[in-house]
Amino acid sequence: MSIIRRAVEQIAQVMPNRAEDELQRSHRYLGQPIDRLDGVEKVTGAARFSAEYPVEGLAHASIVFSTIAKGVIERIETAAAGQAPGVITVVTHLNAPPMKVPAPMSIGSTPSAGSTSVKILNTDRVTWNGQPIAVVVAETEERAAHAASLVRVTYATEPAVTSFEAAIAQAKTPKDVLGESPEIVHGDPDEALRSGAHAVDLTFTTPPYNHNAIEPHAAIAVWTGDDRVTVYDTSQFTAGGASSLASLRPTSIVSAPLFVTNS
Amino acid sequence: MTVVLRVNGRSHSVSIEPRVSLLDALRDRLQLMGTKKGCDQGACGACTVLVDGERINSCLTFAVQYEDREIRTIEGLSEDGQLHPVQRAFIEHDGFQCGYCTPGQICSAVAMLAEWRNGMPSAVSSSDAPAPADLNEDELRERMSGNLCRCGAYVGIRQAIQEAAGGTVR
Amino acid sequence: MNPFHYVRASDTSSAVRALADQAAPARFLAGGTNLIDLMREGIERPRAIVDITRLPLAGIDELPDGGVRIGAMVRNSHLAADRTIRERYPLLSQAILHGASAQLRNMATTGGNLMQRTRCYYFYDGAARCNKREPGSGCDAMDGFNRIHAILGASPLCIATHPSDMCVALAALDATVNLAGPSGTRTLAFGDFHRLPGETPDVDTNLQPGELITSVDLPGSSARLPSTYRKVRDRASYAFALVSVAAALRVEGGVVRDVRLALGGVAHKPWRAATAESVLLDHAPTPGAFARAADAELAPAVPLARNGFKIVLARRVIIATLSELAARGAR
Repeated sequence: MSIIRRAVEQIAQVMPNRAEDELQRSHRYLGQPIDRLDGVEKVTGAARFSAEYPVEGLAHASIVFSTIAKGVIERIETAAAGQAPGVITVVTHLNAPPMKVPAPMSIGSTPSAGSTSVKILNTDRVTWNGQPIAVVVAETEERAAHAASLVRVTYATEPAVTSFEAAIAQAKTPKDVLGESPEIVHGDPDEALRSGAHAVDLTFTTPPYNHNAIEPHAAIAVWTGDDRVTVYDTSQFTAGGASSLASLRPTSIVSAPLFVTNS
Repeated sequence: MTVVLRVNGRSHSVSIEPRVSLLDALRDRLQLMGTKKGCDQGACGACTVLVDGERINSCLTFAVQYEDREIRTIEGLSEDGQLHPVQRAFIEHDGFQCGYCTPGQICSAVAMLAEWRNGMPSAVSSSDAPAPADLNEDELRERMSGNLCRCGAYVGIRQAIQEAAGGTVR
Repeated sequence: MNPFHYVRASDTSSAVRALADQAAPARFLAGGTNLIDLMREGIERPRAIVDITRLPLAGIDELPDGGVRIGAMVRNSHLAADRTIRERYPLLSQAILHGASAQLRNMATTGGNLMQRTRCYYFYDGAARCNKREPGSGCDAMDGFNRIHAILGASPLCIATHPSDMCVALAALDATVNLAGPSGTRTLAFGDFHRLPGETPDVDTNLQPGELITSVDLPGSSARLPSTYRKVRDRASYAFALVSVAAALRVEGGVVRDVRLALGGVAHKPWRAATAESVLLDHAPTPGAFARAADAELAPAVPLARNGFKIVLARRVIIATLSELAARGAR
């Protein structure tokens, strides 16, 4: 008998005139300690996550990230990386196929999962510290990672605004917020603090929080013929992911129906 | 080089470079995907495996260092299809959500219980006192502090381990 | 991580020879908990590795003076759990148990714990300027996020701290470090093993090229001192010290006869607070004396933009630990 049933019956005993609600007997699962359907798989390590699907001839990609926050890639030297043992290819803005930027996140009838307007791998401009600027593909993860460390980049660095206080001067009023016109009202905090009976004037800052899941972002892409690619991804929004990947439409790859599997 | 690893009671011969970690040898070469890569820098514990019964972070190793050792992964905890008591307790007390940290939590807990029973002290217990009779919350948290859970299933994890320790589940 | 040549050694002299025979740079590998991380980050790039984990250096042996000799390959967890260590040097056991996680303590060795390198963010970030990684390149920590950095013994070139807990206890306990190298064997006082940054922050220790730590000795004169280790950090467990204190105090006839004080998290090396000790020795163990000792030790402390709190914190923890020991002794 569940804890809730027991508690209800206790209450019924204490309050004998209270009519028993027949719905109390009709819940089959609510309040019951039900084992998760995938419980056995998860506690035995059998549950598969996105990086764990067995694929024949799997290659490994390692991403090179920018080390400046803003500027231009003047030179990107990939010869050493390309010649490293086991390397299959090195992709940069110099040789990546032109790709359409995915539409911003949208859960409507044309779902999309775009998160930036930056033309990743199709631009020499760096817009954030850690922007992907090259991909090295190799036979093993160790070879890909090591070859990625051999890519040498020369930047023309530009001053970057990285503090909220510094950015306020360039703030713009958006045209609309969730479909409605924005309303901006300024009060007079200085006067309020001056004239109030009590004044508390302190500055609090909190750092940005990132809800990092422990599973790394990893995806496996498997091409089967020219017209079909299956992507195993970590995503709650497989329709959006598939739609956005398909929308890249790189001109050197025939556009293909995409299958994105939720891991 | 050829490296012979004894994993879950069986010997496996793999041809790998010395820089391949034990974690990657288990996952990529032996297809034992149960052990997880969470951070690859010894900060999360998702890669915890047992070596001669002791828990280690398999990411901060080279597989070649662990020849001639008995390695046990999450796949090797159940026997004859029967779940290990710690595995059963995790299901019963809902000690997980996404499940990614779970193999590491379970392997870590199995070894932790052995350490505790063998009198291993902790920063919580005084260094000269015998192991506590009851694995209280402070002890349990300290002894499991090397395993992170980003879903925040810590309450269930703690209760599962208390159950497996034979103590009172709170 | 770069590819490298791997060899395994079975005894000390062949390990030393093997390292000398390898293409430089070559490194000894024990637990790997720091070296492998540094290699994966591209900070250490050895062309050869000599695995010394099977060297017969895993014993904890009694010494004639009542001390112990700790083999360099003894795992941190085994050392902390050892009965003899817990009876004679509980400070060492406590300090070890406050460090890292259980998994890491099972892997890490005595020798490796001494050899571990700073966790300064800029040292770890290959894109940042760091005089330890690349002499002469500069130090981005000076004007950066220097909350975890040094308040004592720093130089204009480097403000990194040593991250170990075990080493703070070894410093307080007058440990000595036994070495074997191409020129033979020698012993260093613990305080002479690690260096301050000075003009050469790229050099962490006074090891000669090719030298190997074989054991660490604790003297009988440091045995059974009433002691405590207190670690202050942002989390309750599994985090490095902001400030830590290893303290030991023996009072006889109302006067301090033996006092040991060492600080962690404040300097490039484990910081033996010799000035504070000299203020306390042969004096009554009063709150005023503890405060004077802390002030004397911290007088040369230099705050950076974000770590001034460490000076106040160190003062309070020194006073608190000594007070705790004095109260314990008075019972």
